[in-house]
Amino acid sequence: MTTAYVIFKILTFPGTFVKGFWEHLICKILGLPVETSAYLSLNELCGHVDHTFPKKPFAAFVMATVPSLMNLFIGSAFFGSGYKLIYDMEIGYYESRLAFVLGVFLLYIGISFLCNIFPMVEDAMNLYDILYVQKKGNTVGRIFAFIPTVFVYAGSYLERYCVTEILLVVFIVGFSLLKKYMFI
Amino acid sequence: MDKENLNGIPEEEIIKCSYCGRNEAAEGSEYCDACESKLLAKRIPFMGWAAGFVSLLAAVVLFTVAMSGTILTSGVSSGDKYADDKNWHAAYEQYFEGYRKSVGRINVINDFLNGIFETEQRAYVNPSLGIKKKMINVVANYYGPLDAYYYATAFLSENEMAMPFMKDYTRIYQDFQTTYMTVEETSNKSFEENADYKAILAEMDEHADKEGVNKVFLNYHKYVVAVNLGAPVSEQIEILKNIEKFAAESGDDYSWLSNPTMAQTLYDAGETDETMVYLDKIIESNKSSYEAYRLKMKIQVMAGDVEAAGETVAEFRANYENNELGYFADVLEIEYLRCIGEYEKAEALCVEADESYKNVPETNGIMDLTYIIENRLIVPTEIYRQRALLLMTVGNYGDAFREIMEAYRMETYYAQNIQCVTSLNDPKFYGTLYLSAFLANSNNQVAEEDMPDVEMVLGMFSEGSVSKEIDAIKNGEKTVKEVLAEGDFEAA
Repeated sequence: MTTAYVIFKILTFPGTFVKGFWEHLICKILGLPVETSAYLSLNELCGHVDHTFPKKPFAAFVMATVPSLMNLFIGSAFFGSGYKLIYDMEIGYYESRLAFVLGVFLLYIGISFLCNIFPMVEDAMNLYDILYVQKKGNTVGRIFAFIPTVFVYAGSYLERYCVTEILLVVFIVGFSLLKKYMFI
Repeated sequence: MDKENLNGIPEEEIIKCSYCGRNEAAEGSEYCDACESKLLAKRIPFMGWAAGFVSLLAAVVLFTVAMSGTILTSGVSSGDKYADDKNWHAAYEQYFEGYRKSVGRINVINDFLNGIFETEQRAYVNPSLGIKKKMINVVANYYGPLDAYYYATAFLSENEMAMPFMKDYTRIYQDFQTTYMTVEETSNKSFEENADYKAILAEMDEHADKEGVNKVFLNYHKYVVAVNLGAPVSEQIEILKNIEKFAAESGDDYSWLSNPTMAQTLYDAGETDETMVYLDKIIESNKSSYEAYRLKMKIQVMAGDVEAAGETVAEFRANYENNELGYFADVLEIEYLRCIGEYEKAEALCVEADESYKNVPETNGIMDLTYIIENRLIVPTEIYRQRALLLMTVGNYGDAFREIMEAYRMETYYAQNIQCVTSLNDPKFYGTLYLSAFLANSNNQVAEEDMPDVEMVLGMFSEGSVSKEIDAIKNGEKTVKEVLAEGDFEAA
């Protein structure tokens, strides 16, 4: 499974690399030591940085969600623009080579980011453990953090087993069907 | 001696630094102090910063562009929604608006790239072609592939005309042209004196198996000859049925050609039930078809089903809700109100529709067409014509003439100066013009200043060049009310 994971990560290297960067940046901000900063290492750390797990609830939450949100935002912007160019504008290769290539490029970059939006399984487990096993942090915060925690927890496992790529395909097809009813 | 540290803890129980593996890990940490400091000081690689912030910046720019809704794809989504509903007119408006907005911005991008690469007027980016393609497809769905081809020739470059999406339109155009050129000499015989339509049609049939002749178009040309030479409607219908037969055999969709002509011909033959079948077919594939809704409404009014006619008008208006093309809905409703005898309401709607044109500047006393186009208005000649018909129905022929004359001036000016398509050749238009001039003149309702115009209009038409209905009014066989407030409600 690690081989498949690494292959998918390398195939989507722009998003993988930048996800590693966001994790590294957040570690810096939170004062967490980072052992390796090779964002494209050929193991299950590919797209992540090997760091100490935060022990405080807010730090654990930030570590598990902010890099994900950054990649989600960037991926959505690229993917949305590419999607509009290719599908909404229906620009094919024969219409405008430059615009078509640009559209495909934007789609690829967008997909590469969207395939790398979840944290390491260990980060997600650490967040869940701190908030809902050790019950650190106030109750209101834990209630609000519940859905994001479940989301990143489940997502991190999906990403570990390369299911996010399949879900992305399903999403693209679903979006194609829905888009006509979404904008007017 | 057992290996013990200074605190007396056995060596194997000491938690070692997980990074260096030599020193004791600091309390509450998995690293020794030295390693923790080293790891905390570890810099983010330059490539990380560069990739992270470049991608973030690009995403912000793309997000802003996408959210602004005014560049590249503006109008496409809403146009697509209308196109899905087969509301082609509204879809075209949305695409055109998006196209108009994007062109300026794309020019800026191309100028920028031309500056960088030191090239001259090169189109590096031409994404508006996506909208152009959609607009051409809309024209094909509204009018048919032939019109889409003509529209595209004025819109696309030579290279663009050769693109895959133009292939079908070009093929149909070539089929049409080849067929026309093959039968042209024969069909031109219809302009000769004492032309015999049967002989001409038979001669045209001899071309059927020639190379490049499309049997659908051959029959269409036959239909034109039959209409021009006044062949019985039953024979015209027979030819149109041949069009349907050959269209079905060809596997291509020629309903754009056969359905409207069949509907009108069946209507002329008095086959209203069958006409309705064709009208529903047209409406199903084109919710913007003013002509189909108009004929349907008229048939329903003539059948005495005023309520159904009202529903037809309301259905048409619903298609134009929330867009700038309410003009057509207004025209249809004015005509409907006129047909059911609600003259005051019709007049009120004429005045209301005219309100949109209050601020239009004039050039030589004519509404400025550029302003009309830029402000997404429609040249209001049909409103003027409907008002003229309305005024004639209530016996106010002088004002009716003035109204339609205003529309005539507008159409003539645009035709002469801007070479745009006009209603001047439409029998309904010139029929209304002539009838109002005739009635105003014969009822002494012509204002002194209008007399030259009336004389000019009356002099423009020779005996038999206007419709039988108008001739019937002239000869006293029918009253104005019998023609305009009953029957076909038209001067044509």
